Amino acid sequence: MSSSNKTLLSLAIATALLSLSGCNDDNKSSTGASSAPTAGKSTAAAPSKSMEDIIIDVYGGYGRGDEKHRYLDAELNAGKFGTFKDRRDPNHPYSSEVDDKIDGGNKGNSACKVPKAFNTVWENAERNLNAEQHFYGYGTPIAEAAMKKWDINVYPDGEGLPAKGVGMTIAEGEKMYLTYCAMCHGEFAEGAKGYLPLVGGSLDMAAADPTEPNKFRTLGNYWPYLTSFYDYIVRAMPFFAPVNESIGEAGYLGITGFIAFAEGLTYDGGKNLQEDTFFDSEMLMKVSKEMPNADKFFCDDRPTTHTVRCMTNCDDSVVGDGKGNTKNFQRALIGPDGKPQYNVLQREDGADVAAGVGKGDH
Amino acid sequence: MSETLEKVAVQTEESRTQTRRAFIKGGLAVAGTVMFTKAAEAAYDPKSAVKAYAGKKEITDVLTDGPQRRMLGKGIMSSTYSMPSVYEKEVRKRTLEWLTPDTLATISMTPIQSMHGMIVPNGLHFDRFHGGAPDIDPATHKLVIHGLVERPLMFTMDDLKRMPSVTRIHFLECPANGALEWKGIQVNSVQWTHGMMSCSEWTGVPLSVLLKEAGVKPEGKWLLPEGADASGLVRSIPMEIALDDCMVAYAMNGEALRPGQGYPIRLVVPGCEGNMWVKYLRRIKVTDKPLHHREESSKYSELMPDGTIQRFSWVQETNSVITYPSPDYKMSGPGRYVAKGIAWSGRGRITHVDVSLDGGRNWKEAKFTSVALPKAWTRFEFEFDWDGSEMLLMSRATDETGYVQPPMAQLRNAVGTNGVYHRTAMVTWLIHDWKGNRAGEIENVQF
Ligand code: HEC
Repeated sequence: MSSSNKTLLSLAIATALLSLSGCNDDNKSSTGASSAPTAGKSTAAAPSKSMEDIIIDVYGGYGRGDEKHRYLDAELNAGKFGTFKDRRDPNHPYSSEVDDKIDGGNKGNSACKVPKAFNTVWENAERNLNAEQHFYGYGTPIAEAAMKKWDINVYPDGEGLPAKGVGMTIAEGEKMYLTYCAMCHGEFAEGAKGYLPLVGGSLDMAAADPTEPNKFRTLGNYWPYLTSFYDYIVRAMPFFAPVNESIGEAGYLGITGFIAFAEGLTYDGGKNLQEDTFFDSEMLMKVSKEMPNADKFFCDDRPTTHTVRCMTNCDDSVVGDGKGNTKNFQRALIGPDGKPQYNVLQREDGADVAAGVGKGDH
Repeated sequence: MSETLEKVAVQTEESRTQTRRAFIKGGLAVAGTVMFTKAAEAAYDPKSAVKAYAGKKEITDVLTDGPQRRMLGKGIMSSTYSMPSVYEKEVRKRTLEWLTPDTLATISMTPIQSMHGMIVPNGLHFDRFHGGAPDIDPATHKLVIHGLVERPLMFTMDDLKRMPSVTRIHFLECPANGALEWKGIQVNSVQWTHGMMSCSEWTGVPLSVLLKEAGVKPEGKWLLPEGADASGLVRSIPMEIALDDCMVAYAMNGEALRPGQGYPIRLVVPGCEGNMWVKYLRRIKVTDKPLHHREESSKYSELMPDGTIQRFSWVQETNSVITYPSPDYKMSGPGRYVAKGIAWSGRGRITHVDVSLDGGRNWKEAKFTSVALPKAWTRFEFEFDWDGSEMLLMSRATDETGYVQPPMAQLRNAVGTNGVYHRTAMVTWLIHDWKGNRAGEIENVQF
């Protein structure tokens, strides 16, 4: 009894809060809907609210100056934009950055969070968590120990890695790599036959000119933690036979060591790995602390753009090429026949190579 | 919406005045008649129908029966699972072979240009594979919830279907949708520009109910859902998103999930990156920290112009596209056109779609032709008269958070062109001059 009363009470409070912030919520729409017929019924007297007001009450008043945001808290939303730097401040409503570092503050190893500005996500989560629940008892209890083979997660703090001392030298790891990986990723992990390169990317990923081609993303420049790399290759590689027992924990560590070596990664403050370095979980964690671009990663802080919903005679900055010129657009390359050249198959040819439906396997 | 609001307000004012006048004139009965006559006068003149066809040659040859009128069709059990008409062969998923070296780790695209309504049929749902589509026997498939829970639990498919369920319509979009064209024009169909996306009705168990059944602990801040397929894909999902509106789905559009979509179960994470909707779901570990899996570091993170990298970009931002006219079609001469399109936002409902015919200087509000559900495709239409001269067709969506879809130039300035994911800027269709040598062609161009 008391618990359902509590639920009711908290729902009432939630509803009040929701209507204040004008949030999108199922409970709320019924509240909103009930006000419309009331206004409609009072035909004799002049309606106390215009149709417009009623609609604004129910749906929020977009584009009318008196913004009532149904999803984002109005106050937070007001300060939603700003510079990149602002938004990387954990206190900015649009920042998903957090202060707690899961590996003791090393290299921005942060967890990220749902930005405060997404208030309905927080409110719904809270409500669903505290909503009354029947416990069905349909599942079957299982011991955590029974998950030993399935649970192969390896975290940036090292949890999940094999015991210290399991491993092999980098030279041995290279042999493993040549046997199990080179046919796709190339003898030097440089990528082959269109398969992804694993090493050789430049550390400076900045690109001032938008027409510059994309830079290769490899272990050194695009993986913030070596643990993630190890986790991934055990989980998913070699592509045709993952979680491979003939490679084993020692083999996967050796392969990780070899690729780290080929990429020129360091440990203990800049020391180079050698062919005879013994590569185990301890060494892996040492290298993981010196991943060159780890501190370049930041938590999503979009929206990165702020556009007003302008209707007529819009500002040059949002028209055409961003300078008001509507003739200055890019097109596909024009071929000798005067027709644009696209990077796609022609329709007729496409029919045979297309995946799925065409092959009759609905 | 402001314009719509004004319209509604004006109409209400007018009709109120009419009613009052009718009352003054002579009571209720008369009021009805007056209103009827008035409405009929204003609304419809059958003679106007003739005008629109003036000058078109009339058909005078007597129509004859086709063969189908004179013979029987196929029997009731000729197909126990109905397939599209043989004339619909062009409406199919397609892939681009140059995207990846392997057909087992790549993507197919939905023919958005041929889709109607809010729902993509299961056979045309785009697929993203990281290790092929396995055939998993539901009789042996299990889902385990473990980690920071009071009572780790295993569920069979039967167990899950006995639990309370929820059915909702949501779009599912790969964050790489649109990625082919960060640096310019490469493709000439909505299938290629926006086809890494579909919208379906999903049915499953609310994730919050399952987590609570297992006794999720307060220190559990993250969920690590994992698949049972060769990729063993994992993503790190913050508890707030998990408890908000996620579900463990076993059905889409009324039937079991298709193997390419995670049969027998997948996670549904409305509004968020398709990669988070883990397929072939076999395990959810509750933890106090994210995993930083490959799909949230090496992939599904966005490189910025200054060399920094944005990660955990969960939400699919507000977006829209005009599907007709679009590069798959041709204009058929000057006259009235009904432009059709879709708009969607990972943050909630779409509130407005505006269309520009002049490169973004002036905009007019389109009307919705479907319901506008949160995190679902919303259909819009916009009528315009084409005088046969060159025209730039664009759409711009606004969602209930007030976020307005940006023009491409603005997005490019903010995030550069190397991010790969989340290119949600407007696209532009150039309609060629009716008198030129590419008369009526519709070309994909980029500002
Ligand atoms: C049959 C070809 C093949 C073999 C053999 C193979 N891989 Fe791969 N590898 C792939 C494909 C395909 C992908 C992309 C998978 C995807 O996108 O889901 C990939 C991706 C990777 C990645 C992710 C790269 C990135 O930038 O995100 C790593 C790391 C990797 N492989 C390491 C290895 C290692 C180590 C081995 C040997 C144990 C190996 N691979 C064997 C085909 C192969």
